[in-house]
Amino acid sequence: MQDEKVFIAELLHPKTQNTAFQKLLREYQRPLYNHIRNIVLNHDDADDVLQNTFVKIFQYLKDFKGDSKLFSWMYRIATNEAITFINQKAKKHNTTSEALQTKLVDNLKADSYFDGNEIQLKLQKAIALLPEKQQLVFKMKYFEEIKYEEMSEILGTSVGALKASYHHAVKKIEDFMNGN
Amino acid sequence: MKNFTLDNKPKIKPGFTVPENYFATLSEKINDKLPKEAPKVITFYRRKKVWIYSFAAVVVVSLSVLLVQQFNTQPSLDSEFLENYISQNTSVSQDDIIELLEQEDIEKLKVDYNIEEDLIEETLINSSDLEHYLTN
Repeated sequence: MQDEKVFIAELLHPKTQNTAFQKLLREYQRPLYNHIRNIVLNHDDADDVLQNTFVKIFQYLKDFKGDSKLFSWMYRIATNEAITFINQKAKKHNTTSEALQTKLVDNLKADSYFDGNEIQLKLQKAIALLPEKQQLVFKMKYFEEIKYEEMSEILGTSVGALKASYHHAVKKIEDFMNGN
Repeated sequence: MKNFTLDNKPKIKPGFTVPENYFATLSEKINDKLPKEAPKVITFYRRKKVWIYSFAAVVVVSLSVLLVQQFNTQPSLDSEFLENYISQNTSVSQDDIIELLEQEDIEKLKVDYNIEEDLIEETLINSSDLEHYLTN
């Protein structure tokens, strides 16, 4: 993306705001969708959360201080929206978010927008058994290939702690895949 | 499954798909959800208020014009009339005026005729009437 400061100024100026926001949508709709889908698993839920995420990005752009990258800031909003969504859904179904994750993975087999093979499904099951933070770190590192430094800006966690989380997650997943 | 490792290539993908044309129509859906600036609504009362203010302004301007014209039509005093009036109706004597003047002002009032004595004598000789006026 072009010089970020110039782009942010375009996003804030009433005359250029619309064009700049359409550009932002085109650029980030796929990566943010993938990020949200990896958390909420279901397409319809991911669609809802993604739309709300972009609406919030638009609303809060004026408050964006530029302390972090626009990319990290948007990912932070998307992550918060997705986790809030999962927690609310768990509360609605009178269950924990971990139990809900397992249930969502079980539903993947019948999901018309999931075409994973047996190994892919098993990996999803292994991930669902991890603590929430390890799940998030694993998905962002393994599926989305986000660098630790960027992940640190998004999640507000030190690079060292993220690396430790990832290695714990990898160990547990490999044990699950080999043991079952 | 034995000896599974996540370092194996290629990586395992999440396995998710999206409906056809999902991303092509997404921006339109999001744009519809964006908060729009509410158009400014001018209420009937506000319109009425504007008319009241406009009418009041017209009245004030009209009155001002009339008043200015009224002042301008009053007869102006000409300076000759004023001078005569003062000289006839004033109780201020010449001495009072001199008292009010500074020494410097009095000096300025003095007229130096600078007439030569020979010229006066000659003039007096040539015009007998003048001698008559002077002596009487």
